[in-house]
Amino acid sequence: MKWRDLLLRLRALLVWRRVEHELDDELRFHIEMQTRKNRAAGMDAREAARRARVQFGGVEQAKEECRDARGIGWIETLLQDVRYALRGFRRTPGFALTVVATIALGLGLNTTLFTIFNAYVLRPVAVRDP
Amino acid sequence: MAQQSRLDLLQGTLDLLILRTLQTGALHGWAISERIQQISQDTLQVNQGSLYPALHRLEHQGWIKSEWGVSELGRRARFYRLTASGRKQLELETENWARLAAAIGRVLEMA
Repeated sequence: MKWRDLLLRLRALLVWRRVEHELDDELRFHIEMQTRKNRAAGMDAREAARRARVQFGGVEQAKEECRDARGIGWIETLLQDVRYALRGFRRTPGFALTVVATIALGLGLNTTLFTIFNAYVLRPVAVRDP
Repeated sequence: MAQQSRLDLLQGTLDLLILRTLQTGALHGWAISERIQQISQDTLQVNQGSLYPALHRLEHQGWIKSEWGVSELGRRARFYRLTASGRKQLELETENWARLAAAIGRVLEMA
């Protein structure tokens, strides 16, 4: 992997919002320029803007492909999932608490039992000739 | 002038055309697509939706570099510039293209 690529990926991760914002600006600028060209060709303002968007094609799809080019798509998706899960927990605190308690209890019990099992069964008795 | 139908770009040729267009200096995305269209005398139609993903990909490859500047009309725009390794890549891809075109030409004539 080239260091330039790594640098850009890092940037996309750290200043995610800004990178998104820049992409918006960049595509908006393009459509504005196209609108201007259409107006110069004699279209009225609304038609010029409409045609510019049609000529561009799917803006959202283009954005999605630009995000793919950044190569951190999976991390962004992961973050989205985490945020979604946290929102869900906030909506149903009882459920969240139950889940946390269940996992905590399960982990604790497991550790305790293994410690006992380990001490009495797995470790050889500490004498030379049992 | 007789209006001939526009051709869609072949897979993989957009990168080459972008690099070549930037050889003469930094341009923003819209200017790149206009330049390609003009020079090809409207034969080549750049799919604007795939132009930007291509630009971002090329930047990640390290072949072009982007920086924000002020456009002809005083608007903020992102300009792309060829890097040293981009120049090398352009040479390589130009050569490959010439070989491909020559080979296809030979087959069409002789086969």
